[in-house]
Parts: sequence; C-alpha cells; structure tokens
Amino acid sequence: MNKINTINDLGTLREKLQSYRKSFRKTLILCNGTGCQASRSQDLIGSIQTELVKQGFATDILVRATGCHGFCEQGPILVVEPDNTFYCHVTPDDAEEIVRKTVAKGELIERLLYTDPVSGKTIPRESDIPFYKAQDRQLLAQNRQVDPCNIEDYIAIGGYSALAKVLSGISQKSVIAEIKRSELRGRGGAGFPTGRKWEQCSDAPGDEKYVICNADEGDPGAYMDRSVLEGNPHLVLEGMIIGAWAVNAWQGYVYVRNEYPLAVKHIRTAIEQAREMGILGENIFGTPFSFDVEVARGGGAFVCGESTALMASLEGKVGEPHPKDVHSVVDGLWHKPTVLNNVETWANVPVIMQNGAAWFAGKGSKNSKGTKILALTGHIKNTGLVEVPMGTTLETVVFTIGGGSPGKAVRAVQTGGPSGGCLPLDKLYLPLDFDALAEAGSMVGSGGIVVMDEDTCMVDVAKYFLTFLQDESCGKCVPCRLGIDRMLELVTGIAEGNGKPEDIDLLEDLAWTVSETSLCALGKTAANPVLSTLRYFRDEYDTHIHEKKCPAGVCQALITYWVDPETCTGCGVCLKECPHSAVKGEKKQPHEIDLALCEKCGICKSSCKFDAIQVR
Amino acid sequence: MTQYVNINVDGMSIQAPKGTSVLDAALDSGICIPHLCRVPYVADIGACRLCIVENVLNGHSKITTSCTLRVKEGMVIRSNTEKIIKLRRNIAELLVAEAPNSRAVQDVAKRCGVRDVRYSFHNSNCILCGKCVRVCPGTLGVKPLTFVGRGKDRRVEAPFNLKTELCNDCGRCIDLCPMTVVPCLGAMKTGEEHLCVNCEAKMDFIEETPGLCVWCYFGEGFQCQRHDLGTRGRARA
Repeated sequence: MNKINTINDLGTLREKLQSYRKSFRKTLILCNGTGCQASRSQDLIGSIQTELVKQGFATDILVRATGCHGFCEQGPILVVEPDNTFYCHVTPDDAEEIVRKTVAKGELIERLLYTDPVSGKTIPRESDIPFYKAQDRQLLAQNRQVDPCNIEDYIAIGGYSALAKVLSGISQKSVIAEIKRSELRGRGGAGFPTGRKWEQCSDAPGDEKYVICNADEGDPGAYMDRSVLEGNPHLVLEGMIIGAWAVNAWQGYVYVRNEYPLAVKHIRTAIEQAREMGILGENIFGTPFSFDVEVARGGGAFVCGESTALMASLEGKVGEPHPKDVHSVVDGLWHKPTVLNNVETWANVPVIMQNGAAWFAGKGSKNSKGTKILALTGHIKNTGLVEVPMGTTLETVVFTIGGGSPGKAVRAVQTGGPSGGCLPLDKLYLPLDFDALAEAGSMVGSGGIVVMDEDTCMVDVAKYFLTFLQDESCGKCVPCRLGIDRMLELVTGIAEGNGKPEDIDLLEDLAWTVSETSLCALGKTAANPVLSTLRYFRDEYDTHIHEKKCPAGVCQALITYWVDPETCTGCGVCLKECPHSAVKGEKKQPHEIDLALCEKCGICKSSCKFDAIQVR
Repeated sequence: MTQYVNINVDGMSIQAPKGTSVLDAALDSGICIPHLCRVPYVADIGACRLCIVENVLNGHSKITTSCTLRVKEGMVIRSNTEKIIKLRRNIAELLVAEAPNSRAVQDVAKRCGVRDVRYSFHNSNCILCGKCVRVCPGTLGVKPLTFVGRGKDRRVEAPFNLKTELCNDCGRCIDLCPMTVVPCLGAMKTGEEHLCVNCEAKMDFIEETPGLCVWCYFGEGFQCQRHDLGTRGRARA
C-alpha cells in the first residue's frame, strides 16, 4: 500500500481501484458477519474459492467476504453481482453447483433462492425481497460493498472522500455547523444533538481534546454497532477523523467490548491500514492535521456503556459511573474535553458531509432525522438488521419488514433494551421517534427491538429485565443497587403467586424513586421495564395477584400441566421424556401427570406431537 | 484569598467559598441536609443519595446529590421540597430495610421521616457507603481495602480477601463505619417491622421543625459534620 500524500492522490487511487473492480466478470459477495460465521460461512468461502480454481474461474471472478448484510435469518447469504442474485441458507456443499451453474452459465439455482412467505414464490433478485425493499439502507448497504479488512474496497466506493472534502478547505466551524444543520441526534440511546455536543467541546478551554467511539453495546438482542464496526470499520474511522478535525482533538479511542472479537480484529486492521495509507497519524493527506486512534477493549460490563463509566474504564480505573454535574464535553477523559459518540453516530458523519446536511435532514420525522439501524429479534419471522428512516412506524418495522411472529399473534414489542419499555400491539402505530417513544414510556435507545408473541408473560418479562439489571448495576449508589433488588423481589413475589394488592403501589413508588435519584443513566432508566409493563399490561399483574394465575402460562408457580384425555393417544413419548417420572399411564391409554412429582419443566408439552398436554 | 460565591438554599442566601460542595455550604449555614456516605475532606462519591437536592436552572429543576455538586454563582437549590422529602424517605427506607440493626442507618432513616418499612428486612452488615475505602490511607497509595464485585455482589474486601501487610492498623475505617456506631436501645431485630419507640418520639420533633438542623438529636448516629463540630464547641473560622 502506498501512502497518500495529497488529497489528489486519493482520487487517482480511487479511479485505479474502480477500474480494477470493473475488470471482473462477476463478483460473489459472501456475508461473513458473526451470525453467518456461526452458520459456517467461512467454510463456504473456502469451498467457493477452491471450486473457482478447480473450474477455472479464479481470474475473472472476484470473491468478497463482507460484514453483515442484515438478513441474518437467511444466513449464510451469497449475492452474485452484477445480476443481484440472492442465495440464502447456502452450505459449503452448494459451492460446486453455484460455480458450475450460476458463475459459469448465469443459471439460477431454484432451491437456494429466497421464498416469499406471503406469495410462496421464489425471488431471484436481492432488491426485490420485501425485507430489503421496505428499508432505506444508507449505512448498512455499504457493508456488502466492502471487505472490512481491505481499505482499498472502502476507497473504491467513495470512502474517505468526505474527509478529503473536509480537509481541503472546510473550516472547523463549518463542519460543526453542517452537523448541527443535519440535526443528527446521538444513536446510542439518549438522542443528544451531535452538533451541539461537538460545539460545546470545541468551545471548551484546553488544547488537549479527545474523541471516543462507544462500541460497548450490551442490550440483550441488539447488535447494530457490532455489525457496523465489523462490516465497515473505515466508515466509523472516517467519522471519527472528521469529528476530531471539527473539535481539534489529537487522539481518539474506540472502546469496544472484548466479547466482539471480530469487531476488535476488524477495527484494528482498519486502523493499521489507515495508518499505512497516511489517513491516520501525522499530517493526514499531507495537511498539518494529525490524529490517531487506539482500540481499548472493555471487559463486558454493561454499565461501561455509560459515558462516565466508559471513560473511567478507559483511564484504567474501575468502570463505575460518577456524577455528571460537569459534562464530559468540558471535563471528560483525563479531565479533558471529550466527545463521546456511538458507533452509528460516527458512521453517519461521513454520509452527512458527503451528501450535505439538507439531504440528511430531509429524511426522518420532525425532531428525529436520518435513518436508524434496528436489530429485530425475538418472536419474529425475519430476524436481522433493519435500517429505516426515523419516523417509520413500529408497525411497518415489525410487520412489513419483520413479517410478524411465526404462527402466533404479536403481543408486545420491547424497544430500547433494558432501559426501554414494552409497548402493546395497539401502540405500534407510534413512529420510531426519540420523543414519541419516550412519551409512550419507552425509548428508541440503541435500536434493539424485541418482538414478543402471545405466549409471553409480561410479569416474566419485567422479571427478566430486572434480573439483567440487577446483575449489571455497578452497585455504587443505593437506589439502583437496593431499588432494583427490591423491585425484583416484588415482581418475583407476584410471579410466584405471593403478590399482594398493595405491591403494585409500592412497585410504582419504588420505580419512581429509582428513576429520579439514581446516579447514572442505567439506574435512571432501570425502572422503565416495570413502569411500561405496569402501564400497558396492568390487568396481567392483577390476574397474577388476585386470581393467582398466569394468563400466558409462563410463571411456573401459577400453572399446572394436565393431559387432555381426548387427544392423548398414549404414545408414551412424554412418559419417556419426563425427567421427574411424573407422567403415568399404560401404553395406548391416555396418560396422567402426577402433580406431586411434576416440576413444571414443560418437556412433556414440547415433546407431545398431538398437543395433548395443556397448561392451566 | 478565598473567593466567595453566592448561592440560594431554600430561600436563604449563602456565601460559600468557591470550590466547596453545596452540602458543605448548607451544613455550614445550619441547613441540615441528611447524608450518610460523606467523609469530611475526602472526595465524595454520591453513593447514599440521601443528600439529594433540586438544582433549579432556567425554571427546570434537576435532582442531584448536593455532596457532588460544586457551588456556582447564582445557584438556586431546594433541599426540602415535597418531592425531595418523599424521595429521600424512600431511599432511607431502602437503607434501613437493608441494615436495620445499625444505629446510624436508623437515625438517618428517622431523620428522613421513615415511619414504617414496607419491605422485608435483610440483615446486611454493610451498606456500601464506601467511607472505609475512601478514608483508608494504605501504604504508598496502595489500599488494603477496596470494593470487589458488581451490583448485588459488590462488597468491601481486602484484595483477594487477604489482609495484606499494606494495612497499618490505623483503624480509621472502623471509626467511620456507620455499622459500628453503638446501637440504640430499641434497635430493630430481624423480623421486627417497625421502628423503636424512642425513635418515633423524636420523629414528631422533626415534623414540627422541618429544615432545621437537628444534630443534637440524630447527628451523632449518622456522623453529621455539624454534630461533630457542635460537640467540640467549635467556632466558625
């Protein structure tokens, strides 16, 4: 790799790279994100390459292993360009056929195509798939165009041109003004206006300033930041360099959790390559501006995603939050002015600088602009990463893109991770908007959307999130440590049938105390799962308390299993499977469950082929 | 020369030296804000959250701990609004339910107006105020006492649970520990779900004179700075 000494060099290099890319007859794009790797995508890449050599296509076909494409449900994914052919659930054994038919002759392999669940027809082209069609993929679409470990790929698709534009004569004030005009709000959860944050940091006294990328993503079921950092690390780097230029920082950090090994590896490679090319380090593009980035790995504490705890952790101290009476834009890392932004926020910066603030502000709703990446998980057909303009309704996300729950009705949607709330079905008309969701008692948060079907007990959901938060609270301040503990105690009591009517008031009072007085954002939002379930699913709590019943059949203490003698065929499967020998009965005769022995594990129910075991 | 700033606490104008905390400024002026995890002259961490106040700024009030809040010219602080009193009582209730046998915790709970406790009692012997950890001088800056674990597993321990040679037996940690204050006569036992009679009698006094410093009654228990100074018959510098 040659060092880029002037801004013009970048343009020349880009033209060279683009013509090199065009010289290939076809490009095989293979998703190699963490999700697809778990489904053996690395073996697939190996066998595709072997087959290409074997069948003599090694020179005119380009194979690109990319980051996450988003449609994780269908992984491993293979896209053939320029035809835009989309193959899903590809296994290493399919490699030979793909090369023989699709690569050599351009034929489609019917069984590997995506089948639309609504019409039942196969869809050959990626862009026609409803999952992709309803999205507006400004950031995610780049993932499939670049090999994350190859800076040249990123340059070829126009990467670092926003940085070049900025460094070729846009003043620091104008960069901040542009970001402010775009009305970009932080994507990490709080939705603080990014431009204002930069401006405050830029105005703060001191020569030594820092920028930090927060990649300590820890919400259960959320993986937007991981996929962006894994799939397109240079986009994040470019954003950080532009941000550093705007606030006049000389050093940046990427704080990424160690549980994301691929993201750590890719961002490290990206930094190495950018340094080699002269995009990081002394005199970027031959200008007087110098900036470097280092990677810091987090130990996996959820609370370290909180800004002050993250900075403490970066400084080598215990990752605990401290009071924020003076903001980190003035007194941040090592008591210096610091800009801390989320991965997705940084990734939006080059896009804004490239396309202009007006373009960005043209997308989205009144107070929330641009697009947002969401991680769609839970009881949903199309699990994956979705990017939609802000202001899109949750209904569109869950039903049009996500396809709803498989076989069952959607009951609730949990947005914003443990700090967010559960919204019932009749609230799904709400737009994905920072203010609208906050008003409804939930939040956009980092963008995790967990869909729950009708078999979900809301008391159990509150219990789950409280258990998570109890484990992840740092334990420093009283309301968070003891308050969450007591809320969990109360909710567990309700789930076990020991709930008293006055528990609800106490729970509300406690939730209010915890959210008002906790030290950091973890505690301040910890009550949201309880408050939102109480607000929208109060009847469910009441049924648990007054009738001692769990309507969804989840809370073990409140349910009993019984065998419906009409449908039981006496096949004996449940009898064999029951680990507690609680199922009794003769062969070919309806069985019975001995309630004294039954531990309510539910194995009998899941093993029964005839739906004869019911929950009461 | 010390620079002074003017702040307003509960309608009272106070002059406080620049750089002090709102809690210090209030205590020095005879306004009692309950506090538990504070150690004079040692950096505050805002752990007990009892000293919460409303910081009124541009018509919005923000709840924050007064021990970590530095005084600023023109600051308006409300320490005894209805909301603050209620929140403080709820926090004190959590604390007293956690460690009912500590006189310090009981006293501060009474001061905050806790009458009955709505939770079952835990019998912890540490409320993680962190006084010991912060005051421990250690040797050469290396401390034999620290917080270990996270969330509900958080506890104060010697690193790796070894009493190292770093401890020079100065005993400061024991002096300050709110759990080592001699229990009052009516200390609650596990399972007793009410505060003792002695304490309830004192409660009436507090309700009649809200916002007044009551160090003479309760300060000893929770080691109120004013109480310490008062008993020494100090004169204000």
